[in-house]
Amino acid sequence: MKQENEPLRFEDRLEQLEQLTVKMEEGKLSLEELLKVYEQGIALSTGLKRDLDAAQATLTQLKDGQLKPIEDS
Amino acid sequence: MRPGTLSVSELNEYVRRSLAGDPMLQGIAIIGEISNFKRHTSGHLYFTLRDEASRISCVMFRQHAQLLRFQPQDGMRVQLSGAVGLYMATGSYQFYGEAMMAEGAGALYELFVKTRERLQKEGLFDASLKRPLPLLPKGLGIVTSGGGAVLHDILTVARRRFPALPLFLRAAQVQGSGAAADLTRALAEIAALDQVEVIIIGRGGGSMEDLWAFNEEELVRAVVACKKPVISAVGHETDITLTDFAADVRAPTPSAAAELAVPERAELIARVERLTAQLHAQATLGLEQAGARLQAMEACLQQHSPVNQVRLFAQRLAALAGRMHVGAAAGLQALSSHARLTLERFELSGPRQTLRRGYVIALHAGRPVQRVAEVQERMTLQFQDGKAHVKTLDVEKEQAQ
Repeated sequence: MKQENEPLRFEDRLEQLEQLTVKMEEGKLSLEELLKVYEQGIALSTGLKRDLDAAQATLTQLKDGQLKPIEDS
Repeated sequence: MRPGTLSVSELNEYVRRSLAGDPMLQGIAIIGEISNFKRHTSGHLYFTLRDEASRISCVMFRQHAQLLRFQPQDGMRVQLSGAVGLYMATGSYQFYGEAMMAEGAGALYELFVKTRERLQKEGLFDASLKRPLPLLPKGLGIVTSGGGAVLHDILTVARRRFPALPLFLRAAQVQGSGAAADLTRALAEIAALDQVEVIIIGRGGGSMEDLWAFNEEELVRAVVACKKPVISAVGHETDITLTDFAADVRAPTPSAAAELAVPERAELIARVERLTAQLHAQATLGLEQAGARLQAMEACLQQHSPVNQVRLFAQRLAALAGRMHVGAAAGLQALSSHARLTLERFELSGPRQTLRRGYVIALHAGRPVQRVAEVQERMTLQFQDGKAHVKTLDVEKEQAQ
């Protein structure tokens, strides 16, 4: 079962960012709303970029019900 | 006991030895269609082989069954190698199989088609069951043989596209008897990992028999029931298995499967950057527009300000006052010139002019004396340039004319 505070998937957040951009582009927002949307967008963007941060890759083998990191070429 | 009388066991034992000793019945292969197939818990296989006219009971013991490259099923036409022997307990003769091959190119294919139709009717391959792949999975699960090209290809592509993506491998037996069961277990185990959000299941190319585990119902159903989306990459592009039909996405090769499962990091970064830039631009534009609107409003406000109204009124007032001034002056002037004219006329008609013409006015007590009867003894004569006080000597009244 999905927990309510479970973070949204990458594509869902990317979609949200896209929608916020479109919303801003429509130009129907009040200045207050615009700044609020902008703030939300920047928060999303920061999170998305964090997910894309390059880090060390890991290959883990599942063997006999145990997870073991393995070296691969 | 009569000579030639034997116990049941002795007879069976004799027949068993006779059969075993007959080279015609050893190391042979028979061809037939499987029916009544049963896999005993011990791992031994029991089934009947038959052709149009006849049938024979067959058994394949576990040590041989383990080496099978596919799962025998009823209706499958096979070539069974082994030997004829006697089952002592029932006195029935049977065929002891040691190796089995699917007979003819069509046999396995036929079974494949039959199974496919059956599962299709059941709705197992419905498009509505296909789940979308996550754009960026938390982790990629891989079910394939432990070494070899498939794993290598998947790792290479995954590392190239998104180096940071965690990869999980559950090595599995991908061909032979028991492969389907191991693959099924492997799939369940890897799907149970929280971090795994998409799974690639596959193996390298091979004959239809080599790939047969991927056509077995047990695995096919497990793929459909899997909680995580499954990408199949079985064999070469031209090989199609039921697992491919059951999977959420079928990839032609392991590399293609990895490309489907793993997003290109640079592409995603570019997308996020682009959106962020748009966000900035829109916010800036919005602020600028708001500023411009504010300015316009200010101008508008100024235009309709009461100060202006007052100024306008004042201007009108000043103009009116000016006009009034001019009008009044003109009026006054007109009046004064009229007055002067009147005075002039008055003066012209008055006594002073008459005096200038040489006449003299007789006055008494400041009043003009106009008739003889009014003449007094002492009177004053008014000249144009002075007065003379005179005494009257005589009066003479003229007769009326």
